[in-house]
Amino acid sequence: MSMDPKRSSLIRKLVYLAVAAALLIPLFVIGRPAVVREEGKSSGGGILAEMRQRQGIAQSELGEVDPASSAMRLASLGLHGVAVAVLQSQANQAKIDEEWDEMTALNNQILRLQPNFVQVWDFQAHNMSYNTSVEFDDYRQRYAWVKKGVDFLMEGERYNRDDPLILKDLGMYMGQKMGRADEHKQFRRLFRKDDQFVQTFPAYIDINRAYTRYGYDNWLMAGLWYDRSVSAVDERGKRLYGDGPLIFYRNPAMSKMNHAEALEDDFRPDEVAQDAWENAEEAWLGFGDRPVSSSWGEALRLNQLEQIRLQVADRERQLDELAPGVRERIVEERKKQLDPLFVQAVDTPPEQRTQAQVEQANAAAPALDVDPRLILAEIPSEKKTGQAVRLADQIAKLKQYATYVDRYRNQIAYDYWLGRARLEGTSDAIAARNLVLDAEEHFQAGRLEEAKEDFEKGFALWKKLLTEFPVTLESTMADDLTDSIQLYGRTLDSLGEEFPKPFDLQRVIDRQTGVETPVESPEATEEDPAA
Amino acid sequence: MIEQFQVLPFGEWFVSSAIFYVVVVTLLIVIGFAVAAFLNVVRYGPLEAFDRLTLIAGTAFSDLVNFSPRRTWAIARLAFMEGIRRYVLAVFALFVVVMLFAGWFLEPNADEPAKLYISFVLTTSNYLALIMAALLSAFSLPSDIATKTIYTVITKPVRAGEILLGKIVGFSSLVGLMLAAMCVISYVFVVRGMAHDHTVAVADLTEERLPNSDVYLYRGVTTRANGHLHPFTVNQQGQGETEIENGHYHRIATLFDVRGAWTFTVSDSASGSERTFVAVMSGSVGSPAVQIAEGDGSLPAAESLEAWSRPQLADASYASVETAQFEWTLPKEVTGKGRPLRLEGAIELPVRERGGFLSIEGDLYEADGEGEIVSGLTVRGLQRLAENPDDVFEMQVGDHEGMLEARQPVYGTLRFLRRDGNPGEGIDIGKEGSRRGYVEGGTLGAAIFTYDGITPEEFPDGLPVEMDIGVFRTIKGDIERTVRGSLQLVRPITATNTSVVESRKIDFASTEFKLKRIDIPREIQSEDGSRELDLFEDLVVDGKLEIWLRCEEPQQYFGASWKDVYIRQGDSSFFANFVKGYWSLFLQSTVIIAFCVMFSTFLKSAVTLLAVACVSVLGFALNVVTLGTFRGIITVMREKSPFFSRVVGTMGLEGGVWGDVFQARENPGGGVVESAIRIVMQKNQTIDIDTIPEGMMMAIRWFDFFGMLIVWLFCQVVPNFSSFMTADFVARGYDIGWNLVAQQTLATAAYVLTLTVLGYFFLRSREVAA
Repeated sequence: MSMDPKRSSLIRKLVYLAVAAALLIPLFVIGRPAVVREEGKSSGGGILAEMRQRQGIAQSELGEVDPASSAMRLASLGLHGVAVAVLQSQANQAKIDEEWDEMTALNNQILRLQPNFVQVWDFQAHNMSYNTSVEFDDYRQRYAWVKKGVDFLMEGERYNRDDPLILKDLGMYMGQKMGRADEHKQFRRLFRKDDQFVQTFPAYIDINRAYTRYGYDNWLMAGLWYDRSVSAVDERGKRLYGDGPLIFYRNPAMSKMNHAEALEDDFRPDEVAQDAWENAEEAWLGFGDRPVSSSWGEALRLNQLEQIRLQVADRERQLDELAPGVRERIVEERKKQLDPLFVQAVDTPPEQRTQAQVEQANAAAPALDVDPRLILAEIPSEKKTGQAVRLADQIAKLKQYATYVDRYRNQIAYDYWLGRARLEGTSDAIAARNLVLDAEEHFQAGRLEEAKEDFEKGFALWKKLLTEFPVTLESTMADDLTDSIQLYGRTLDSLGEEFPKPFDLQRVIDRQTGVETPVESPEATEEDPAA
Repeated sequence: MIEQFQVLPFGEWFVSSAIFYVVVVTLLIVIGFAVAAFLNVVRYGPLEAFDRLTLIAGTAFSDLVNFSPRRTWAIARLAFMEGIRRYVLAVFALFVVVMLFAGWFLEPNADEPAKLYISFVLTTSNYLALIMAALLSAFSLPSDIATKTIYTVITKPVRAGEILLGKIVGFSSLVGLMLAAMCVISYVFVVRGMAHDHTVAVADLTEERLPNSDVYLYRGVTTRANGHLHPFTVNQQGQGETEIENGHYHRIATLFDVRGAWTFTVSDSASGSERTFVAVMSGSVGSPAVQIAEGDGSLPAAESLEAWSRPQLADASYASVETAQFEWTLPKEVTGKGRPLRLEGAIELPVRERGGFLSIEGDLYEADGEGEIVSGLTVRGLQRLAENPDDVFEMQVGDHEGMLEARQPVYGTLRFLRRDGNPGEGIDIGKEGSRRGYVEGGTLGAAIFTYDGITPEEFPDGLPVEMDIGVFRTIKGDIERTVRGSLQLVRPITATNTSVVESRKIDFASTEFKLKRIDIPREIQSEDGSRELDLFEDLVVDGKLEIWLRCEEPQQYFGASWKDVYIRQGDSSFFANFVKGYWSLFLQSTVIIAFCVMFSTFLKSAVTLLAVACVSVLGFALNVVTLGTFRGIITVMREKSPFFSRVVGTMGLEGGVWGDVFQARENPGGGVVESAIRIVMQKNQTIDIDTIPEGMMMAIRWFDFFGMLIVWLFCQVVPNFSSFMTADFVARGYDIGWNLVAQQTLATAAYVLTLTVLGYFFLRSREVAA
């Protein structure tokens, strides 16, 4: 109060100035950007830069800072969150109004404002590749929009180096979108020759590895992106998010499977497809060998199931030796409580079970599985050594582990795809497919006798293959066969012949129709192949 | 984004607007007088109030009579100077900065980059101009009043009206000047942003022979520029167009270099002799030269060369130039006839000859004669082309076309036929935000466009129809092909015509989000193919013509709104259209300035800005507010008053222009209060609120009704800014008609006038101006 007001004002200003200057020091320490030195190494930069580097957020180096993005964020004075919300809603409106260019322009602005918000890239890319592309009637325009989404994601990846979600999405768009859309034949055809497009892929995608005799393959390309996403997690320490590990690690191998399948769909099955299946099998087994962290906290290896089952059997045998007859007695007691149909199903050797029996046996299996502790309880106390307790304990743990592995394998149809790849990799499968295709061509051309002959040869081969790889009866492949069988039926109709009974591929039909065809006697089925 | 809107014919617009204007102004006068009288009476008592009002009216009259444009102009100049001191330069600098960085966010490789660029520059200019207009004018008068500078002005013989009008004129000319500068910069920005060059090489062409003919086509792809490339097809002469990519195409022409050594033989059927010569062509197009020598090179026989030409891309008619014409005078040593003869011939320029031989063939004429052909002599020549065709051929890609345009469309009115062939509405396929009605394919359903003003003078070569229709598939169908449809010309049934005449269907494959052009010739076959119809004699009645759009594939649908199929009358200049777009922005800013100046006569600057912001928001949302509220009112009134309902019915207001307003419509959910109650009670719009007594509900509805009435009335005096938004016209490449320019200009003038008068009274009512 007593101070001269002018002087007090001056002092106050000086203090402000000093404080402002002092504040610049921590700002410098925190915010100093890393600078790329000539040899390509970057200096550490400030605390924020180091954190960015550590977290793998891009633009931690001065030379990489995107001026547009930075300028926009600066210009919005920290309100870029609000701006993004407004732009986002405008982009949505543009989509409703079918103003695609405007939508793209708005998306670009949004991402300049929030380049490191991965989900925004994800969302908008999906908007382009999936939602916008289908608004167009011409498949070439649709393809162009799918590519726009991919371009967009690639740009997102430049801002967010090695982000597993973006990399995985790139694989997904390249694979699932191009390979599964209604227009997948057209998309794949366009992609095969789309040099211009694949040339824009970053250097770490070795596009030559996705080049086949026919051109670039979208599924193989997808596999390369997936590989990159896996290596981002495995080698470059990125956190896996979005997908569960099982699905995430399956992607590269799965895209090889899809590649092989698509090849057979687009072209005549030949040695290229055969190779593709073999590669797919190899990749699949590789995937089975890798540890996959599970929701039980334990890392599982899908390939271990058979090995573990052997271990269980071995230990159970050892345990049974300590308590002879106990297991058999318990099983017999339990069987008495079961439906006799189920018991009969269980007693039928697995390869002779009908479809219903397979299901019944599966349903009965848990009830007939004897807890090792029950056997342990029956062991007389003088024989109840530490070994017996340990065995029982091990069996329980191994069984638990096997259950987990089994569940995981079921989730992704592990057995089916493995069996499928093995089946398709055989020369018989190629021959069988070609025979059926020949037959279909004969049918279309009206050469019914030849059609019938090729169908029957083909089906005989298929029967052999399906017996060898029963697991492949599941799912899509059998569906394809059903169509061929129907055509075969029409061929026979035209020839005025009866549908053969029993039919080689009766089980395929049964699976499809869900109707069980009674098998007269096991012997009759045995003689079939000769017929 | 603001949609392109339908523009009324000027006469129709003027009559309806003028009536409306008179009504609103009368209402304003009445209300203004009533309010003024009431306030004066309350404050001063009836007698003095009368005196004051007559005094104001008297001075107002004398002010009007003594209005001086000179004084107004002086004020305007002052305002102009004031503006320059304030914000203008800063705003302009901001604009330049925005333009500099805009390129970062605008993608020239968008599907329609021109649209993106143009709407960007216009929107940016619009926002900046509006902000500047508001800031300039809102602060001027209040600060004059606050700093008491207004007194120095008032002491001069300047009238209140002149001050207001002067300020409006001054500020708007300043904004206008700035917009003019922005216009030029934007134009350069857009044109430069769109400019790009492609190149093509003859060596990369792939040849394709048309079935059962000797005609070849050549396909290729241009190089990439601005993020796109064009596939193209050229004919044997290397001429053609590229496909449309990113909203434009290029013309392609191929130049051929005929320079080099030609071998030719002259055969004489009379003597049976045949001699071979070599002609070496050199020089350039302007000054060509040829030297002819005996095949073994022993005899130099240079004589003269009249002229030869080769096709030029600069030549507007290059598309018709298919050969290089030449004319040589062959010396007597060559002709073997003892006299020089003139050789006239043509060199064909087939691109397919790349790497092979080119041939010449020609007739010999008497060199000095009257164009008489000398028979018995034939000349054939060959030239070996270079190994690399691109040494000989030069393919040129023209500038982009179809991108920066100002099309002049003739729009029609649209009605639909249902699938059974009866009139009805277009099908709503449930697409959010779609204004299109859809017609089902393979049925009798059709979208019928009726055009007016179709005359042979306007369209001597037939009708260029352009379409941008929606396609909706309910089944996958054939993925490789787009959905097929047809156009059919139908003679409309009018008072003077009762006979149906239909042309054959013109089939087309649909394109979506790409303009499709179909040229309808003047001569077209009738539906049954029995006769040739003349467009104007057989199909057009009194300038009217119907075009029926159908989808030809069952279970697929075509969608259209009135503006999706039009006849392209011609083009006007893109630059002129761009300027017209900016003119609209200028008018909009002027209206805002007028509002600001008017408000600032009685409000503080900040409040003025708020008031103008309210006006702007209402002005942009006007279409929504007016129609919504009006319909609500009409519906309630028709429900409540059978008399009103009868009046509407007998006056035929449910159809025609007013149909949209007067048709009874559900007003689900009711007005403000009812909606609020519904929200609280969690009753959706269609559920009856039965827990509130009927009488109470009635009262609420009437309350809402009057609320809506007030909103509606207010909306009527607010300018409809969306009718000033012409950015979409420019961006989409449609000409802004002079009609629309005139309407906007007139409307602006009316606002300026009315607001000046209004402001005059407000200013007078403040003691300062008294």
